[in-house]
Amino acid sequence: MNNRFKQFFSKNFGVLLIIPAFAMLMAISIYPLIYCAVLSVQDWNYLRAYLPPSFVGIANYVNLFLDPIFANTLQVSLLFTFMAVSLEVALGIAIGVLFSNEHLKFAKVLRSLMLLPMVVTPVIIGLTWKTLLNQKWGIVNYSLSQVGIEGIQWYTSPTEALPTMVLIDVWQWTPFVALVVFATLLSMPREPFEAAAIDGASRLQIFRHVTLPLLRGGIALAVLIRLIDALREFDKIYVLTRGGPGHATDVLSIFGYRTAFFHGYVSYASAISFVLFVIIIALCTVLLTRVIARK
Amino acid sequence: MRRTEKSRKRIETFIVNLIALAVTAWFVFPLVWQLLSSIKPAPEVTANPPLFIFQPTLQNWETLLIEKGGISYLINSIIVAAGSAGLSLVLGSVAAYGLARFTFRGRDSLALDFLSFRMFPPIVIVIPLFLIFQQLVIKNTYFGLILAHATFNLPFTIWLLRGFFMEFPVEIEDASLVDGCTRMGFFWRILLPLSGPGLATSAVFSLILSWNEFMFASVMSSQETRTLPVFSASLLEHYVADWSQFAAACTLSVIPVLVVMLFAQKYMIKGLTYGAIHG
Repeated sequence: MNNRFKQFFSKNFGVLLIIPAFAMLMAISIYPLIYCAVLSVQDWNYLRAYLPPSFVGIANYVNLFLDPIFANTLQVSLLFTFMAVSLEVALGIAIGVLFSNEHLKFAKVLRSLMLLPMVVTPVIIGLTWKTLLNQKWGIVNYSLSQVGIEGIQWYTSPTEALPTMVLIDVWQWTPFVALVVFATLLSMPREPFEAAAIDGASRLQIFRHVTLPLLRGGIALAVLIRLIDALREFDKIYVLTRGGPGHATDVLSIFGYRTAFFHGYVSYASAISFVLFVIIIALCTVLLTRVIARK
Repeated sequence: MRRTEKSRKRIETFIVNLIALAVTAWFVFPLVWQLLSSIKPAPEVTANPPLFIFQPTLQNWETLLIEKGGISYLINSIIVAAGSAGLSLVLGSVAAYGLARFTFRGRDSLALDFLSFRMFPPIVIVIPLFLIFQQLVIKNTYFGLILAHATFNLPFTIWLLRGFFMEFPVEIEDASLVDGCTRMGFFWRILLPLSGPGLATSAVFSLILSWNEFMFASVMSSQETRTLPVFSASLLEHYVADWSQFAAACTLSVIPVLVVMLFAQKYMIKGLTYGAIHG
C-alpha cells in the first residue's frame, strides 16, 4: 500500500507541483468568472440586497443591446482602441528604429528613460496629464499660447476628450512598441542589412524589404497585447473624466464599474463585463490563429 | 568624395541624436514637471505663466506624508506589493518547475491556459471577487488585496519562470539526480539558487504590477488598507484640489519605479518584451 502510494506520487510529481498554483487560480479567477456569468443571467441589485436574486435568462443581454448608452460605450471603446493602437504602432516603429541607430550617444540611458511611461502607475499618468492639460494654468496650454494656439479644452470638452485620452495612451504605450522594435533589431545579425546595402538597395528599400519583415512577428504580438489592454482601459480615463463629459469617454470597463459600484446593479454590470470578456477572447482567438498560421 | 561622405555622416549622427533627445524629453518631461511642482511653494504650482525659477521647499512633502498620513498609505502599498509578489513567487516557481521539467498529458495547453489569465479584463473578476471577499470577510484586508493581485501576478510569474527553467541545462539536473539528489532537492539546492535573474525579473514585475494596480484596490480597501494610487486619486476629489501635494504624491509613486528601471534595466527589458520577442 505504502509502495503503491509512493509509486503514484513519483509518477505524477509534475502534476502535484502545479496543483497549488492551479487551485489558487481556480479560486480567484475561474470561479469568479463563472460567478460573473451566473450573475449576468440574474436580476439583482447590491444596494437592495434584501431582495433575493431572480433568474431572468438573457434579459440583461437583450436590455444591453437595446441600451443606447451601451451602444455609445461600445463605439467609444472601439474608437479609442483603434486610434490609440494604430498611432502607437506607427510612432513606435519610427522611434524603435531611431533608438537602434548605431550612432546614438548615451544609448543605454536614453533607452531606459524612454521606457519610463510604461512602468509608471497608470492612475498617476492620468492625474499628471490632468495637471499639465489644465485649461487655466497648465503648462501645455501656456506653451501653445506662446505660438498662437489658444483655447484647447482637452478633457473638459465633449469633442476633445476622447482624442485627449488617445494622446495620453499614446504617450504611455508608444515606448512598448518602440522597445519591441529596438530590442528585436539589436538582437539581430548585421549581415542581412549589410548585404542589402552592398547590393545597392536604398535605405527605404532596406527598411521596407529587410527590416519590416524581420519585425513582423514581434510587432504582431505587441499589437495583440496592446489591443487587449486598450479594450479594457480603465485607470487613466477613470481618474481624468469618469467617462465624461457626458458619455464622451465612457469605455466598457468604466460603464461596468459605474453600474456595479455606484448604482449597485451588479447583474447588469456582470453582463457588460462578460460582453467585454467575449470580445477580448474572440479577438485573441482570431489574431492568434492568424499569426500562428502565418508563421 | 570622401569628405562629403564623412560630413554627411556627421550631420546624420547629429540629427539622430537630436531627435532621440527630443523624443526622450517628451516621454520624461511630464514626470520631471511633477517633481519640480512638488518642491514649489504651494501657491506657485498653479501660477500662470508657469514658473521655472522658484525657492525650493519640502513643505508639500511634509503635508502629504505626515498631515495627510501619506506614509501609512505608502506602507500599505509596500505590504500589498511584497505580499503578492512573495505569494506568486512561492506558488509560481513550484508550478513553473512542474511545467518546465515534467511531462504529463495536457502540459503545453495548460501552460498556455496559465498565460491566458493575463488577458482577463479585470472588471470581469472585480465584481464577483468583491462579493466573494465580502462573504469571506476578507474585503478591506491586506490578505484580500494580496489575493486579488495574485490574479495577474501568479500567471505572469509562472509563465516567465517556466521560460527560465526550460533554458536551464538538463545535464545538471540529470547529474544531480544520479548523485542521489531528489527532484525537490534539486529544485531547492540547485535550480532556485542558480535562477537569480529569473526570480529577480519575476519579483520586480510582480512588485510593479501590484504597486500600480488601481481597480481592485479602489473597491477592496478601506481607509486603513488603502494603497497609494487610490490615495493619490482621492487627493483631487475634494472641492478644492490640492495640486501641490498631489504633485508630491505623483513623484512619490514614480520614484521606486524609476530606481528599479535604472538599476535593473536588463531584467526589465527581458520581462517587458517577454512573449513578444522570444515568441
